[in-house]
Amino acid sequence: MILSATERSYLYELLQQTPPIRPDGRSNKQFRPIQSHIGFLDNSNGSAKITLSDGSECIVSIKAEVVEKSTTNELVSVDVDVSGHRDDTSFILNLQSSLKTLYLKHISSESLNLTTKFAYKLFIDVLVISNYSYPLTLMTFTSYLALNNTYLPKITSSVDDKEIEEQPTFHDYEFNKLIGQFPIVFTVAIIGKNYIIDPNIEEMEVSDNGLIISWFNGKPISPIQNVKLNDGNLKSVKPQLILQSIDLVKEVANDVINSLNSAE
Amino acid sequence: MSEEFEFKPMSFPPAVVARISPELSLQRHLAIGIRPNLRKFEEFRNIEFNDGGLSRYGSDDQIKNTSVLGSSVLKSGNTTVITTITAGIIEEDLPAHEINDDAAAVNAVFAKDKTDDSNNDIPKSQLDEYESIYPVVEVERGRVGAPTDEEMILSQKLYETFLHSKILSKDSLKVKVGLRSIDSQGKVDIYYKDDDDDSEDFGLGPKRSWKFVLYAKVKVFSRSGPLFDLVWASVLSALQNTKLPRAHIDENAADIKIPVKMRGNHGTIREQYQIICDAISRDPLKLNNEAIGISSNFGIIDIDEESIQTLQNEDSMEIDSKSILLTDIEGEEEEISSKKTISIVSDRDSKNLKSLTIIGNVSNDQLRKSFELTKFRFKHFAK
Amino acid sequence: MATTIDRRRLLGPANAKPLVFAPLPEEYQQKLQIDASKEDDIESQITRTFIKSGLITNANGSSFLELDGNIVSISVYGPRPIRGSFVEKTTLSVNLEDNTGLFNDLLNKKFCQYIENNFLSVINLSKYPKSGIDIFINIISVQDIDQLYLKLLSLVSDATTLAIIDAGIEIIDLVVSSFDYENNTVLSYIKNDEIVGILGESEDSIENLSKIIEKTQKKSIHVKNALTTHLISTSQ
Repeated sequence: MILSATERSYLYELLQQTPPIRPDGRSNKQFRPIQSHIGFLDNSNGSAKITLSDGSECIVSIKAEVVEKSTTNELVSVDVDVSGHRDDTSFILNLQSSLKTLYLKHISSESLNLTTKFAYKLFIDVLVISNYSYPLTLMTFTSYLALNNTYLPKITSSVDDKEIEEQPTFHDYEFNKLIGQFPIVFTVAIIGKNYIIDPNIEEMEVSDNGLIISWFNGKPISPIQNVKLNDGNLKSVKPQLILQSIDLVKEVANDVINSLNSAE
Repeated sequence: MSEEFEFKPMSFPPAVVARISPELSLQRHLAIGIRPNLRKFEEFRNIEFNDGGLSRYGSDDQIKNTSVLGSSVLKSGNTTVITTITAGIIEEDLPAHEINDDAAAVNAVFAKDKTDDSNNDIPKSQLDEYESIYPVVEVERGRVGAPTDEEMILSQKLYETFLHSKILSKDSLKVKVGLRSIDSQGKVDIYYKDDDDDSEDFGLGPKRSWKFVLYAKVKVFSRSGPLFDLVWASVLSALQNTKLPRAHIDENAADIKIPVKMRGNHGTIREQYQIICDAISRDPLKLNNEAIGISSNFGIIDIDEESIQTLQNEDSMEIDSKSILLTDIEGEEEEISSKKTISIVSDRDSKNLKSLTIIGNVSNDQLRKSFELTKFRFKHFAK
Repeated sequence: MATTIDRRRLLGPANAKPLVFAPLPEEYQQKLQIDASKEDDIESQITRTFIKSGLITNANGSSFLELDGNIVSISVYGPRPIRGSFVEKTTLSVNLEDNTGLFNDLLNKKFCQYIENNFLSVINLSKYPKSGIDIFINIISVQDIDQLYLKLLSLVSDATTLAIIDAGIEIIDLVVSSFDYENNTVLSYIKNDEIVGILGESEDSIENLSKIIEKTQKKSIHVKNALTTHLISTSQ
């Protein structure tokens, strides 16, 4: 419990106002500033790091491996590690499950294809070093940056190897950029009749319910689901609020994508 | 001024006595000739089962997309036991002379007599001709975590009793491997080698053989007493409707050799056989039906003279012995008070014992009585 | 990867491989084909449903639900005292036990999380301080794990409502869930028009969410009627 009863009710009142008054002065569709770095891990095919203003920090490393398509059914593997949480807790498994469904569905296998027999398999390792709010948004933003800056070795052997028994060979130093669109996830906290994007920890603590909404290719997509942002303060939500939250995401999503794309 | 104190005996409703003093409650029940669960001393609970329709091969015209091969839902009193049978495939270790063609050829010339009769002097009834199943018993009790002692003991006892009952022979678990081929028109054919078919193997190179491993997952709801009898009956009934799928090797995979790089040496060849189970065709699991019997348990309660004396005379019944044999223990009172127990597993006609556990000082008469009851029970069971 | 050997359970030889089944031939697959109109017809689904409460005697509350080859059994333990420091609200835990071998860890947790979130918002948590409520979901049979897992989830949610009522735990209102096959979405409602749970995993975009809400809301009213009728008839 990070808030006293008085603080909690004060904050709840503020966030109930029209427009909501957020403790850090943001509007309901404003993100906290983020700081990003990309391509700093030499041994990975792609990497990125994002630091939030509250000190939350996430590193994503992307590695690729050549696999036989006939023996591998999933070309993307996601591993999540959040400091302070054990690997087998439901918190971690749920984050992992959300990310996995997201990337398996929306990273096209075409972009990972090598030859008729072989393809790349991506290993997305997400490491949250310090974490003060619901980390899924941070994780997908960082993964987005990392995926957008992933370079895979260029194949030099024949692409059509149906009849030939050989393994693909690669160029010594040339790489191809991984081309494709990648999904991101927004977190919206619902408080009373208000909805705010990217809640910080105090806002999460007093929120009635939370919603995660995914975004891909200019559209809101599934998974969409409600998440608990605090312990035991959950309330039901009017359908209208969910629809409005999606509209809010629609409003800001393109700007977010643009600013992520401009990260160097 | 003197106040008069009167000591009133506390009295509790029967349900409360049963919780706080199970032994006393039981003794009082027994004294009036009835058990706390209202059964007679030598009365078994009814057992009902069905296959529950959980198996892949529920009915002929519909195949479900599950890997459950046999199932059983058993009810007895309040207790429900659900068993599902699944399987895995394991490659058998074959003796060198069977794998290596050269060795066979050499033996054919030099050790002609030896190769054939090597099996003859081993009697068929040996234990290593039989297999067991791998049971995992879970008793629902609203907790998570490691299995309890009871669950572990039940699983182990199931495994051992099953093996020693000689119900499942090694042969019945052999995978009859067929070969799938696709001809030039894209038509798929699957060949299964029948038992009487003497034709050559499918050119799989060295002989290899596979066998099924059977797993039983047993889930118990509403436990109310010792469980082995119910779990045993449930597993056997699930196995009786278990069907094993036919399996084949993909023709393409049959002679695939994948180069494996090992310590810088490219020459190593690894052969991969992907065994695929046929979606539809299956054979019933062959069990040694004569060995399938039932399990019964008995508890012996010594009558406590003192507690009988507390009863009013008109309620008490003449009980001719100092201890009572109860069949099919049920409920907390009986379970806690039964310090002496007998557990019997017999074969189909109750001719042979498969397992007998006696705990405590049990008299010959009581043992004889329990055998009789087991036989009697089986006669009814068979009907 | 499990590198340690489980010595407490008899799990069989380690090198045994699970069975791999060939895909079903077409004539069989057609029989299993999902009929969208059948999935939308909630009234006939309700008549096909079998519900029974209170079968598990050593749990505080339990329910058993069967529909179209889905069989689930829910047992609720609690409110029962918990160890450790004082908590002013009851803690809710949800566990899913799969007897079919079809669930992986991730799907298991997804179900648990959904049920937990649903019921956190309806159970009167502060009425039961210093205690915990444990919900155990037993999946006994599954109709179609690939396409109708969210239908199963909606059934689990409805069954959990009944089990919680059977346990005598105070809730704001019946949680009723309904599943939309077309958009692979499940929504849970209380008071007819308030959402306590939403999980959408459709292939397409969710621009049509308002339609989905409208559709599932209508369905949920039918389900609620059915549950209420069932509760009244069994209480007599």
